[in-house]
Amino acid sequence: MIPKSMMFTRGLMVVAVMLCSFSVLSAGDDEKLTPRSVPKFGGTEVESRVKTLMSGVSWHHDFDDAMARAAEEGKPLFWLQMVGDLDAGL
Amino acid sequence: MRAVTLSQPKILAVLKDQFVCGWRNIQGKESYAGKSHDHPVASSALQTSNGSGGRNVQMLFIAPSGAVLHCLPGYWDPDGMMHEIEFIMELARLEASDIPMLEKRDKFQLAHLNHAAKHTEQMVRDSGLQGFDKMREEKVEGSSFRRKTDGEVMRTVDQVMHERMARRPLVSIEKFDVGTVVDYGTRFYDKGGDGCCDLEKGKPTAPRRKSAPKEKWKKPGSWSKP
Repeated sequence: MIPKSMMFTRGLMVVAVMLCSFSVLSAGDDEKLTPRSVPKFGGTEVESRVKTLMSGVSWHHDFDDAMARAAEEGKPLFWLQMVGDLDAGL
Repeated sequence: MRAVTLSQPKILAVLKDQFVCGWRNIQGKESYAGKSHDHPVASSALQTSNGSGGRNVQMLFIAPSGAVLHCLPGYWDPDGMMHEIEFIMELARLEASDIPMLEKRDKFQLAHLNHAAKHTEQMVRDSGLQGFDKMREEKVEGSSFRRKTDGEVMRTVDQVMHERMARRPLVSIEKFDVGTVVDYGTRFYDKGGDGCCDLEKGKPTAPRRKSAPKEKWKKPGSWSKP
């Protein structure tokens, strides 16, 4: 015959083990896929960075001109295609 | 992409020194172009996973001869993009070398597959499909994102894009099928709207209201006996 006090203690232990298991599983599920190394930028910061991007590189708008320049300089072409404008709204 | 990655000093410096750069707006011009809400230049920039919005942004890297070295679809975080740019510079050296074209193509294929196999766990983890893109791929029976072992849509963009490039060894830009390379996920992509899409039509199902409703809003549960 098991004393009632011991049964209560065992019950508490079972509940504690279940809670621990649940918390471990939850921690794994919360893992984020997004990169962590860069922060979120506010509108003013974005505007400033876009200006830096536009002035920091000489951008071509015509593909044939860009390819001709790449051939002339012997450099690969970085050709960005996007829905929207690089220097304005997207 | 432009605010978080392209304007990063280390990315900007390598683009300026190592590449000739150009851009164009494909909205309404290419059948594969995606859709998104409007974002003014001064709106905030959010992080997302690598490869998100592949139909909205394509970064093509093309050798001076016109052979496509790589196509990075959608958003890439600065570390991921720098890693790929270093690889692209290796491919450019291969393309410019004197070895026979058939051998170049073999090496190009192997290089893409080997590079994907060596991606870090972190990069793979950062390149997972977002929820709405995954839902679309789950409807595609032969999706490239299905695992061969159990058929689950668990594969990541960083792996699939290298496989797709390996099947296009040094193809000229005139013959390069951008639309097929970026064919994954939904046509409508907006970072702020995970799960906001009509998967069949590719249109947002919850468009923004032009004006607030005229009737006074009542708090739920505030019903009283007439």
